Amino acid sequence: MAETNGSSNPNDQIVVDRASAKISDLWKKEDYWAIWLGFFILLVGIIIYFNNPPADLQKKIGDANAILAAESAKAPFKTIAWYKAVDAKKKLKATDSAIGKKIKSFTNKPHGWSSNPIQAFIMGEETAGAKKAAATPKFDAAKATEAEALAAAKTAEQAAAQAGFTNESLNASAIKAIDDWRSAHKKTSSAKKKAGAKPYNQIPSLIGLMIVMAVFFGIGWKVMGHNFAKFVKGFTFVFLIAVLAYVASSQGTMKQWGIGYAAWAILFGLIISNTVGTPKWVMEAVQTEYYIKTGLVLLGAEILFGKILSIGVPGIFVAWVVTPIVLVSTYLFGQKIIKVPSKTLNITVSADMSVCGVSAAIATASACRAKKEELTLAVGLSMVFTSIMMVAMPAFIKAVGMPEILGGAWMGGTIDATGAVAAAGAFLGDRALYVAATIKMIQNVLIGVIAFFVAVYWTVRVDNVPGQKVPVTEIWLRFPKFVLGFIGASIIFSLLYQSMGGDAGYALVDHGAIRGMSRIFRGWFFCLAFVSIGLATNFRELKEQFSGGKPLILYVCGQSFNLLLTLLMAYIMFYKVFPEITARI
Amino acid sequence: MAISICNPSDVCDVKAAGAGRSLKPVSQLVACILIILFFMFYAGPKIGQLSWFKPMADFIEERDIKANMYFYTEVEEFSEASINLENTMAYPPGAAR
Repeated sequence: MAETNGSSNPNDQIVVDRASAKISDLWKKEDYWAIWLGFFILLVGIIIYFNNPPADLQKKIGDANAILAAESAKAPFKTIAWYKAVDAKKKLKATDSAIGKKIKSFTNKPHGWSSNPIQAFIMGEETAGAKKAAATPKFDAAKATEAEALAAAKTAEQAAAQAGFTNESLNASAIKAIDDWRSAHKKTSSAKKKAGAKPYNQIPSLIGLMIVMAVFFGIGWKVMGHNFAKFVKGFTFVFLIAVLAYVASSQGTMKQWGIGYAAWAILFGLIISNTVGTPKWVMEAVQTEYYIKTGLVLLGAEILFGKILSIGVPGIFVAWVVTPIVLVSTYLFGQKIIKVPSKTLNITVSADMSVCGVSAAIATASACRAKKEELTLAVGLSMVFTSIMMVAMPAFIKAVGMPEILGGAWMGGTIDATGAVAAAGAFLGDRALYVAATIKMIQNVLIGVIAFFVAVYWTVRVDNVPGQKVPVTEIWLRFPKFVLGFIGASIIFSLLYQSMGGDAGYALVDHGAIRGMSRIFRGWFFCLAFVSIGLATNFRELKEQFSGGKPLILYVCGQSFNLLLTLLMAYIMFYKVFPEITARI
Repeated sequence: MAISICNPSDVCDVKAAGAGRSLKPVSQLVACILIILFFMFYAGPKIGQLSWFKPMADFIEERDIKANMYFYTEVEEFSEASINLENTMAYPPGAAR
């Protein structure tokens, strides 16, 4: 339905919707191909992981839950046994099966590195041995510290138990000692990863993955009536730049700065297209929408609606009440006060700022058919402010002595990128991390709802002449169909997760079909999309979008409002209305 | 995004033609690469040593947090937070009291 108008008026490059539909749309339109390809990957994930569950899954879950029930009835705080039972459940992952490990190895992105980029692809026996030798003393020291902390925690818990858990002072000592043990436990886990350095050569699997993805997208491309061979040829270049983007994002310093693959992919693409120029033979594979829509269908599977109840009512209020209020207010502010010239830019920046950065920007921009420069701008703004807020917010929270849980909820609701939320939350403490991460996760779930409503609003209101009534059939014809795949994947996976029960869902859905399949390919597809955006954009158009600094003003004003409202709501919910939930955490 | 304002291939043709005639595009490319390398290997680590940033940079390194990821399924800490809080809600301490 989306076709380019060939007239010479100023809108001649803008795609218009022609309200017609044919049965052949099912295999001729990329919206449908995004659905078919996305669901194919999800189906493969389900078949693989549901047939390779962890050994004795139900028995292990039952045993752990029995311990949890007994411990929660016994003590007024989380005991050592309580934590160990949760740790036992955490280990139940279908991705740890033999086939899961093979898939991980085949689809791995370039590895982390600090000064030698070759290590992103290859690490020899000698280097791995040296890394291991350097990390082992730290790991041994961490293990010893953890053992000491565990012994101290056991002593403190025993003392509290002997007093029948009625002595407040002994209970507080036990809680503190157990917290110290958990903190030491985390440090040991990180040290263990570094001490487990193994040699690798990622190049053959990257070549294999490139071929698989080229054929995967190429088949759809061919059926849609294009040239398979030309696509595959161009795809090698796009894939190569995507690999370079991952290499840059996996560098140690860039990780610390919170600069991820999306920013690098756009930047590398922009540099090429604005200096030496994107080679013409590559353009056949510069297909932003094809990659992004397929990635969004996969993203839908990762949006599990059951997660919104993770932290009870306070979480819903902080994430699902504040966020839409901020989104709508910022959009209206942009339209009425700042007068942002493009509605699609306005809603993309508003969603990017109020929901969860890049993922929300991608979904919203696709739902309202924003220009690629508008998405680039939104992603750029999000990156800059995420880096600033990741450092500034925990420092401010510590400086003013704000309670951990309030600080965590505040950061979770306001910092855009999830990785930065994890870093800032963990920097404050475990409780802050749990709350921050959970609030952000609930906000992540909102992406699907927002993308759906933005798509409907744009179809019914924005893309029409004012006052014109649009029949339902017309709405259906104009509606971006991949959004249905996105929402459908979310509903199916949410139902699967809920029907299995949280623990089995964690093992088979979350740590199976989602993290072992959907997440991996979705990351690659988004990276390919961002490379394509860069390769097809020139700086002049990007500069035009930034005219008058309006997007920056919009972001700053919206984020300021977000900071105030989220803090207020978090305080009311966690400290005034539901203090008992706060006490449990 | 079904919209593409510019026609990318036109831009590419112009650029490609220019590239054949002049060294300017190549020197621009090299300059961009040098700027990135400068930021990655010099400016970035230098700023990372500043007192206001160092504690966070060290913490991210020590805990191996993927601070530059975009969605909750990409960050291990989210999985940990989720399972801990879900169990806290399902098996709250002092449930029998």
